[in-house]
Amino acid sequence: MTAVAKADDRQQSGPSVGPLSIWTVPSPERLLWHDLGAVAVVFNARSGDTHVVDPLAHEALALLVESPRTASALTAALADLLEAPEAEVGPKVEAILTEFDRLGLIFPLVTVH
Amino acid sequence: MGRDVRDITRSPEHFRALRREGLRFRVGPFVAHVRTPFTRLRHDFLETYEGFPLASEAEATTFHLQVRATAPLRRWLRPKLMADAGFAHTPFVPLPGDLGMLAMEMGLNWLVATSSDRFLMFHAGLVERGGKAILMPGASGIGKSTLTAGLSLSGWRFFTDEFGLLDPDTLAFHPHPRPISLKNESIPVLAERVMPERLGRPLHETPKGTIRYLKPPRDALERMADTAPASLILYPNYNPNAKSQVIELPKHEAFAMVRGAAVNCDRLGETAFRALAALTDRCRSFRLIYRSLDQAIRMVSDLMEHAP
Repeated sequence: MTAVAKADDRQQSGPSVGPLSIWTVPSPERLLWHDLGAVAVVFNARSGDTHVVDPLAHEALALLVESPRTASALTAALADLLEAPEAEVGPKVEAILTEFDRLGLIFPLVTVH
Repeated sequence: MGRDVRDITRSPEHFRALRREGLRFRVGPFVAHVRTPFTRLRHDFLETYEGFPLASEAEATTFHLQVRATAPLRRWLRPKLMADAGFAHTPFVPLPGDLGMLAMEMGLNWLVATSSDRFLMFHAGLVERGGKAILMPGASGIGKSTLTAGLSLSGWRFFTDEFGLLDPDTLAFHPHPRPISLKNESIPVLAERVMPERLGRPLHETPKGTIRYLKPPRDALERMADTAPASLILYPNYNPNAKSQVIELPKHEAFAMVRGAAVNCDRLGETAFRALAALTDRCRSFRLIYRSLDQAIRMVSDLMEHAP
């Protein structure tokens, strides 16, 4: 089981994360969620892995399930939701996307570096 | 279970059957078929498994296991034996002829762990009282067998000291009351609480030190078909030098811990995830640090008073 909960501790860039990448969740119906109060757990039936996600990562994944987005579009949506400045949310979103990508939870539809 | 079912006895008939066609007996939801030519093992087995119900003709066998000599001469000359479940490449290690019961138990454990995927299996002890079960996961040597045995001698029904078998559809645990494996320091602790005939002879110099098998209580065998849902999940930790404590785990930690104890979680995938989520919702989970068996039994009883 892996944790997607400490975005600040993770590397803030990865090989697939580019500013123009449009991120999507393949087969979102194969993600099973369970709310555990402070965090949620998500089971990815495509990989067989279970991940612990904090509320921010949970919202980010839910937004990507809703529709594919670039990092900046996701940052804007989350900043709006949290009523926080985009400058504060942006680095966390980059870290979350890198981790989601590493775990195979999201795929880039278009990658332009 | 009615007493019209024939049980394993220490009779010459069953002693002979173990060498020839083998014995088929029921242990919880499984039917095991065991066979061995070793005289001492046949004595040990009948002593330890006396009272287990024999399976009827109509019941299909779940596991076949024989304990055989590693080579023909090794049956008589410096005997060496090993469990054999019929695989081309056996996963079992050879053991000295004196440790036949250990080979048998290790073989049965391996068969349960690798071929029972209709259950979500936990490496855990399990007891029940008043229709509520307590799951006690833990690594070997942490004290779960001792605590399970102690509770089973204090008014709790014994389910297992090794495999918690959860039906993922009903969320009920199935008993699997095999002999309780007591090791090293736990042997005298339990020996003073039971009649001597309930303990098998000591097996010395095993890979885990000295082992004695404790026969399951009679009511555990008579009610091995009676399932129960869990109300508590406890992580016992015997430490005579630590302060005794009961620490409740937050739900996310409880989920991670119980998932870690699920032996076949990856094989069951989505089914396992749903069952683990439901189990975590239903049960409160605690770490239990205790200094003596009697203290642990009191702590468990107190926790059960307030269990859902």
